[in-house]
Amino acid sequence: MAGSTQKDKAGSEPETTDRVRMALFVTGEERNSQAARMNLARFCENYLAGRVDLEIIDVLENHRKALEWRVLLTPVLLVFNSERPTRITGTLQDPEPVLAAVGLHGSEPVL
Amino acid sequence: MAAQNETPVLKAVTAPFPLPRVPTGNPGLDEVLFGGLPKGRTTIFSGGPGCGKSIMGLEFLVRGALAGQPGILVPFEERVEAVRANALTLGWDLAALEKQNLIMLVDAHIDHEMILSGRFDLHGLLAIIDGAARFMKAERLVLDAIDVLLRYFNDPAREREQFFFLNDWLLNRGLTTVLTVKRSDFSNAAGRYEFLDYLTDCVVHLDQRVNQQVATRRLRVIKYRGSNYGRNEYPYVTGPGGITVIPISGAELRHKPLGKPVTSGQVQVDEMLGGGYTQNSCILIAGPSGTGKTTLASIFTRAACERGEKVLFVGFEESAEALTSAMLSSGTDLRPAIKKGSLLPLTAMPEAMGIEEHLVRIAKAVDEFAPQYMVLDAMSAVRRMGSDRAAFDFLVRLVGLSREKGITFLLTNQTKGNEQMGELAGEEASSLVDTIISLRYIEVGGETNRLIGIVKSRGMKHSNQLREFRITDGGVELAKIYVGEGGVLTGAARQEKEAQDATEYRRTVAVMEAKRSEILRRKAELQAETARLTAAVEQAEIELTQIEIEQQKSVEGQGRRFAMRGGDGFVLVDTQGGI
Repeated sequence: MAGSTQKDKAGSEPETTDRVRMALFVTGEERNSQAARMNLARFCENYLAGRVDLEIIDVLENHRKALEWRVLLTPVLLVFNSERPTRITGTLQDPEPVLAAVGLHGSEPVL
Repeated sequence: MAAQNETPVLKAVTAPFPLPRVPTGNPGLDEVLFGGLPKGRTTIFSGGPGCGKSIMGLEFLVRGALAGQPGILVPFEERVEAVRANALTLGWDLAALEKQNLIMLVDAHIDHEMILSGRFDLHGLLAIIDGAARFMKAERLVLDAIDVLLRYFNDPAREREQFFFLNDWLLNRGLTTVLTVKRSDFSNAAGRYEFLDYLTDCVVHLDQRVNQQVATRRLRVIKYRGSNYGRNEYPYVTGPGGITVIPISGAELRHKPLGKPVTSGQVQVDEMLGGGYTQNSCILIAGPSGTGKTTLASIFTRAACERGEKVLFVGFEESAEALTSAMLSSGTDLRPAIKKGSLLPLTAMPEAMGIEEHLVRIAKAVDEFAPQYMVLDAMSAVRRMGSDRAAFDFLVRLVGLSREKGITFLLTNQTKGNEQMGELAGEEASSLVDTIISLRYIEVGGETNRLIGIVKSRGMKHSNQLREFRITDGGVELAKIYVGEGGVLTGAARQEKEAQDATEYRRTVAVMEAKRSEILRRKAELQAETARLTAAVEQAEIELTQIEIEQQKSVEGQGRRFAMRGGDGFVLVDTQGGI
């Protein structure tokens, strides 16, 4: 899918006004969910610098949302980048798939 | 269970306490499961593609819903719209049940485009199930194609760990759960989800095989923890209304006792039988082609219909018309009985479907038409449903069905020779039936005659004589006969010495005549054989001559070619044909 080794800074400069909409489904304080929260928080800090609308949904509290979005496996991140959101399942330990989903693949962290 | 002070806390032995069960609502399946699925536990329905496990799972929910027990379906492989559409073809309106909160379909088809990054687990699914179950007070849950979900963990150890976790959660939650698992015994992948069988309480395996172009489907309970169950393989079919399972062993327990005599439709045959056939019994009429089996069956049918009783006539002709015209040719007009509604002909070509479909069709007709009598003509055609084994199963089940329903069951069987009258479809089946009538040919004095004899008639003082059996216009009649192949066939014997002497004499005459005709036949055969062999020798001679002529021509040709080429260097063949 994403050519993750590609380094192309020039092409990856998006219109800075664009905000990224994402939803992270977690299961309370369960281990994988905690890891995903931390990884995503770090990701947003490093790459998106406030240009993000993130909703965190706990399936234990909101099973209807889980049902609506067919969330069977948790944690899962939905990135609303097109009509059909990109679905990334797991602890998000690797930033590349998320970068690809928000159109920033190949970017270096903003320090 | 609160232990009193004087009661020991541990009792060495207690009466077995049966696990509570949840009826599936499917009569056949519940019979095989001795009442239903283990309540609050997990059951697996496994089987290859197209075996009907999803239908069986769905039926568990639908029947539960119709009985007021809400249930949840989570299909991992199909979209919910497809599930609804498929259910409609089976006659189930899921949308209506969904409106009443009796069924909930969880859209759970897995997005194949999803990206995996790091570890994940099944909590989302559990949260959905938990929320839905609370909301609709569900008691039943079906996870359809659990293997599809587990495959996403893509690691046997993780699959096992997640399933263990899921199963544990389900047990704590107390839902009566069905998991369907794709598995066929023929694939090597079978082992991958074998562990599911060990972790669950009840396993039902559905098996579909094709044998001689006919598909047969069998259902078997592989395990049922802490409980008894039917241990056979049971045939089943799927169709409108879901799964129909035909339990056999259970049915045997409810057999009705034999009843009063009932006429065979012919007074003399009744006499031979010691009063007639017996109600609730199973009668076999066996004999070679053309001996009058169908005729006997149809006069029995006609007599019953004339009394105003109902007969289900199972035939293996193309149509009911073909069946009635076959009987018309033997002088029995059954058309008025059909018109009156007391005779229901049920015909189908044996090859048209598997034995299960045939059985279900017959069972349905028995249920709806509620006949007192059933006729099957002819058992020998059943073999064409697949195999000898299938034919025998078919017979066993039909006999079971008729006994259970108190139906007098008459069947015919076409045998190849005069022997093996009790042999049905390659199996010795005479022990299954109560009465056996044997029809055969006998050649005496240059004529072929039919003989009828009663081989057995359970509970009746039947005749042990063979009688001549004639097919007449509109029926049959019996004539006294004293002669048979190699033996005195009259039984009156001892006290009638003179009669026996006379018989002895006639027998000798008959045997002599039989021998004479045999000698004539043999002579004719000898002549025919001699003629055939002579012809063969002549033919061989002609062929030899032909070959010799050709050989000669070929040699001459070579000689000519040689001469034309002028006979230079590399000549291997001389005019004599040698090298």
